[in-house]
Amino acid sequence: MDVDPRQYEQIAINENDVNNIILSYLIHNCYKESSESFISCTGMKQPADHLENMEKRKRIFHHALEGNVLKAIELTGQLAQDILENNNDLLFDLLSLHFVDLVCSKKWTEALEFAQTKLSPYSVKEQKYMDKIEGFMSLLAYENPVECPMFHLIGLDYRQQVVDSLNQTILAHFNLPIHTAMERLIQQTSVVRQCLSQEDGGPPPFSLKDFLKSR
Amino acid sequence: MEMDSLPNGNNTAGTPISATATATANPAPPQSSNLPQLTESLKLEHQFLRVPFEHYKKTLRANHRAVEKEMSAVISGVTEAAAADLSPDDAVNHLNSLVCRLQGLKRKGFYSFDFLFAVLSLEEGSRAEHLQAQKCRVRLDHLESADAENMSEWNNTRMKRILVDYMLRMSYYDTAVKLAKSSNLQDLVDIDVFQEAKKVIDALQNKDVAPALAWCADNKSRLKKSKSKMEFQLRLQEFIELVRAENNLRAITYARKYLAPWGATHMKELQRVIATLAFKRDTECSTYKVLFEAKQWDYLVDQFKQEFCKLYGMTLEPLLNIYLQAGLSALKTPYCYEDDCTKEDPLSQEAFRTLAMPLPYSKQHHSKLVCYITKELMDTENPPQVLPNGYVYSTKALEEMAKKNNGRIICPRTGLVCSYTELVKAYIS
Repeated sequence: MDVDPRQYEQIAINENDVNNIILSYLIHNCYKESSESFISCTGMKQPADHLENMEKRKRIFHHALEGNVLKAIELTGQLAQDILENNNDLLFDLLSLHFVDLVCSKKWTEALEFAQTKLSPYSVKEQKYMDKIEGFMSLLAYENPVECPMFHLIGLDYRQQVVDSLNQTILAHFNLPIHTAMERLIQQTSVVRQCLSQEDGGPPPFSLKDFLKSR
Repeated sequence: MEMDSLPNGNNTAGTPISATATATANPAPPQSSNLPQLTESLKLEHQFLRVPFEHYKKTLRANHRAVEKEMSAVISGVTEAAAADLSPDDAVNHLNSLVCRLQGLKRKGFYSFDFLFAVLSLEEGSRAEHLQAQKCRVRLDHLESADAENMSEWNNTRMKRILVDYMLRMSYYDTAVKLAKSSNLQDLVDIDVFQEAKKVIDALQNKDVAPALAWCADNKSRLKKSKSKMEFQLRLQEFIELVRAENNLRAITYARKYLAPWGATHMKELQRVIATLAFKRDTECSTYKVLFEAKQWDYLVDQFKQEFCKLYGMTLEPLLNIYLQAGLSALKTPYCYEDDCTKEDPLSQEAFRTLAMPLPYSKQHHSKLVCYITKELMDTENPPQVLPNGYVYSTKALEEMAKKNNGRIICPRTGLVCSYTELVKAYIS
């Protein structure tokens, strides 16, 4: 049955639903110990394989973020052979992260050899890889890569973006949701509130930043 | 005469040029003031005046820099002497050496900017400045000397100037020098300017960018003003040569020093060239393979020629091409490509037809009719008249015929006999 909208604020939310949302977030982002503590405190039950895969994802995640991309690629291959074999875009992006690490470490010769043996073969596949290679190679033309117009390629935002993409790809491979329930809920809430705010007398749009600030 | 010995084809080539030059150079009726002719000439002779002037300005700037450099050295020398605690003898020696520098400066030639064409005031003027100022004056005099009485000679000189210009641009320097010398044209052509370009072009053809880079440095402010990227392209090519030699670390150092500054404005080109480090010289990837081809040096030569001509105010095309195209375009009509085109028409020849193919037809406001009998143009003063049989002849010819035949007209093509009074005047649209 439909609930009267005026009663929304009064509806009690099922405790179990809240717990599921929180656990989903912790698992997605590889907070293993927090997940275990949360499960034991709430008395929830979860399949063991979730935790096992999370441990492996965590190591891959950290290697990639810490600048050890080749190790991350190796571990991903061990997890499942075809995750990266079937995803040229992601593999290229990971390899380019390694190139960036070499450039920032001022290992020019190593960077060049890596570009010649690992990056340039992609150019025969599609034009878009050629454009990307040109962008990365231009970092070499600057004593301080930060001065290069393509400096965003050495930034944390770009690295985070690639690593997030890797995490999502691994999750998808195991038929796990690639977005957390929390993320979905916030997206849906924002859209609903946006629509309602356009009605006369509707509530203001939802802003996560404002919401967190008001707590 | 030099020109008489040219092959017949070249003589024919001269015809449209002469015709056009005559028509253009002599728009005013004879005996009138020179001013209209000079005005018309200046429109076509921009390069003729501009090049020696630019050359002169360049020499002035170079000498000015030398003067300033010497003066600042002398002034700082005097300042040092004042500050230092020198003995009287040492002070005298120091000042003597400064005086010697000033005397050397005097020989370089001080000059006044009040009058660019004024005679240099110093007893020992700069030879180069003097010669270049003289050349400017000679050319002004030459343009002023064009008048109805010596137009034929003047046009002949112009034709030779045009040929020398063409030879210089095609790098036929020796031939150009010989023609200029044998016709006494030295002050009317730009051989010395093109010799400057020759050094750079020869070096580029030997895959050496140093003279070109030196030329860019000499003309830095003007190239920057015109947003030239000549230097950038030279730097890119030198980078490519380092990559070709697999001198990768030196290539990276070179890029940081000479290519990075251009990144803000030419990032896409910079990226494409830098990427050759990842692809190496033997790549099969066509985007980068082309960068390693020898013809890239030919592009640099062409680019340099364009920049050079632009800087000196020269036309980008040889004068010969411009005059030839103007002449052929003026003569070109659809009739020229028909089989019965008259042999007197230059476009009856295959070579000229080929040259004229991409050119537009001449703009004819009115039809032009030529009398079959007299070969003269039929116009409002000599209108065409139609015989009863439909054939058309000029009024003058028909009047002449009637006078000789008691008022009777005999058609030269059909033999028809009729009375002058039976003719009907026709109008040209």
